[in-house]
Amino acid sequence: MSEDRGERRPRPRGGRRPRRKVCAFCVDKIEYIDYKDINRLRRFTNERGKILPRRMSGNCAKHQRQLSEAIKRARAIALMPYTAD
Amino acid sequence: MNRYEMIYIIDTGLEEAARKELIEKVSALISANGGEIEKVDETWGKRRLAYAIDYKTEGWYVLVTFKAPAELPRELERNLQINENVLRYLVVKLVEKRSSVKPRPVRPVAAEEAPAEEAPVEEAAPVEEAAPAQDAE
Repeated sequence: MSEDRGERRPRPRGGRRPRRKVCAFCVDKIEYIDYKDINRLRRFTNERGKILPRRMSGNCAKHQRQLSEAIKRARAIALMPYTAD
Repeated sequence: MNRYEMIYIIDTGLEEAARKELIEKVSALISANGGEIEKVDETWGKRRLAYAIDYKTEGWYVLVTFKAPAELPRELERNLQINENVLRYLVVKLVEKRSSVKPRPVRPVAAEEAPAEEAPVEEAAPVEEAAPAQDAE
């Protein structure tokens, strides 16, 4: 997790330094992630409906927690799938 | 009193009159137990479900926001559980924070004296227009 985040780390020889991702919710200054906002939530699931890990989405811990809560609520009332196919 | 938001799914096999009656009944249940309905939103209407519930692929979504004492959601959920025309329900406590959907109408006490349905719409528009105008001057 920390590997693709740290910037002070010496650059691995020959390796491309991955661009540091920023939390999409912090950028938009969102304080509460709504479970009804399925278009936004859908971007943080893969095509099978699984929640993307933080190392892929780049979210901060606070928003990732809120996001997973929101996705799970959306699943409970059939707005989002538990599994696809 | 807390603010809650409830979303529930009604079986689409139910005809319109019966559906209206059910929505009415749920609203009455909230009011009867010391709750105070702020808004009943039926604009979601018929939606495809993300997965089949009891072999049904569609449902009629109803969104209700209300103020209620803390004991009410439990009673409400008990009643929705019994009703077989309600496929799913979810009661959530509202958080007064900047939402990803839209800013929640956090109205001052004075606004509640005005007719409940009209007030938020009319209030929102002039405020937004006024703000940029002041900046321009």
